[in-house]
Amino acid sequence: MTGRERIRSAIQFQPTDRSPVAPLLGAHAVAQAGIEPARACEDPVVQTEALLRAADIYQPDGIFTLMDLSAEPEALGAGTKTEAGRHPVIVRHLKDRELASEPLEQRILTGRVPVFLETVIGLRKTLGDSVLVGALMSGPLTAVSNAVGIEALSRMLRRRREELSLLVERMSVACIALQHQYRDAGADAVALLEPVATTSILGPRDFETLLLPWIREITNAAQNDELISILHVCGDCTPSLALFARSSAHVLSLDSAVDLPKAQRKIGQEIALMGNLDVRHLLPKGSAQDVGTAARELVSQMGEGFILSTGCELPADTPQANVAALIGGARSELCL
Amino acid sequence: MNADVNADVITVSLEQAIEAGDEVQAPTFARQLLDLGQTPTHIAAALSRAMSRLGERFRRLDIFVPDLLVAADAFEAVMAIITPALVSARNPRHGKGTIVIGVVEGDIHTLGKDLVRVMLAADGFEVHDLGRDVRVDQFLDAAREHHADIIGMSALMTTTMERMKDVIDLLKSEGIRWDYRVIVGGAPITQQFADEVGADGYAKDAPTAVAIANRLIEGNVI
Repeated sequence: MTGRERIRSAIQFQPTDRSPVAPLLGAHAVAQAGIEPARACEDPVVQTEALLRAADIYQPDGIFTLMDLSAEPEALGAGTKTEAGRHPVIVRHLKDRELASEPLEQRILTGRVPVFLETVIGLRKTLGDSVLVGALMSGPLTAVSNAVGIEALSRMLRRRREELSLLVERMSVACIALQHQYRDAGADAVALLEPVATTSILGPRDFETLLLPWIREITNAAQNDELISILHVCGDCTPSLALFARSSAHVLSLDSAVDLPKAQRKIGQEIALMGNLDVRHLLPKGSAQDVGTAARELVSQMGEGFILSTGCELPADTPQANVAALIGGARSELCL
Repeated sequence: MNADVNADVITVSLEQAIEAGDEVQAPTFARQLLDLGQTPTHIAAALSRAMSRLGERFRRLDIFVPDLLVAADAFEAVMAIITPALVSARNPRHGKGTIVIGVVEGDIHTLGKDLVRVMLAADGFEVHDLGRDVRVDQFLDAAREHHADIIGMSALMTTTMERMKDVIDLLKSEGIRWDYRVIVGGAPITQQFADEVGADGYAKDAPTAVAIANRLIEGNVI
């Protein structure tokens, strides 16, 4: 079974020879290659080489582009800055009316976004069909939030709800356009990153009425494109899990704040789960033995429909031995 | 309806306006209370009750960050009216403790810090907001200048959270670590991280920051 086949089987709740494993290697891969994060976010050749190097070392079943939540907002006009050792960060937000004045489907394909499209092309070309190639892109709410600022988004949510709904709709159309591009570039999967949909910010009722319909539009479009759709949300989202399961995504990727085995008991019949080893302490600071134990325990507690991964992108300073232990945790557990 | 009864009704309306995040009605009610002869301290107490209830509701996941933010806007609209009077009256509510607060260097995400600032002020602390992208030495300078009891630091990014340790290390190297208590918070921060960098408290959200600040001021172990 190739890694790609293993992940495809897992999301269809079919037996696999072992648990698939696909950590978000981005920042770690770039650091291991001795490359500045900002440079990898600006140069597809550099990013591709770093990810291929990591794929060669760790042999994951799937590999994803770097996590850069500033790329889409920057393409739409937000200002960013780059500093040594850091991903680009947004330093100037847009007025919300700047997102309402013209279609976003073309604008979102500008700036550094093509870097990630070309990275997908490079990964696909080299890895062939053996490894799943995935793209990470901002979901519509997070893209709006990072473009206008979360304070502005929060105020719109309570005071100008209709206008915010319109922005989310427009951004969703742009996300679908970008998703098509990733399909054309050769991606197997697109992960919608929606950290702003975490429960403490977007309560279940707001998620259901404001965002869920548009997430469904995007994931349905992904299925029409024969893409695997992944919804990634950060933080403790336990109260919203049942709603996330209604997203039509193939996979729900959650961070370590969520008890994943419990989540699987709750919604595991409806959606495959991905995650969720701790990237704040365990992976960068724990021992390889700790990581291996945590990975094996998680795999042993999860049933079919599970992809072992990180809770979020691996920090740059994660020791290689810890990443290897994570990958090894899946390989030591057969789930025929 | 006599003036006292009327003031009671308006005070309740003020608290409801704060909880609803109504930044138009809330200052209107505050002005009406001042016109009826109510003291700024009476109004500040109403704000404090409203923000305290919001904190409880946030903990129960009955409301969410956007609700806290619009309530904070309404709170600040009222504070703009009553602050001059509070300061001139040397309001004893601000005797609770002094806090300098900011978002660490390299980080511009101010939402969490802003909510903490408002809720601390509502609870009676004197808060000096240093804003965002605050250099390590600026935290110390501000703490000295304002004779702070507590230094509060916020970060949203894993790439910037290490600046918190830099601030604490600088306090140590200057020999003034125990002149101040340190609270850290923000999305990537955990209790484990707070312990590792040597902070005195970890606040996972704004209401928790208020509770910890109170405990630190009272000298209780966190």
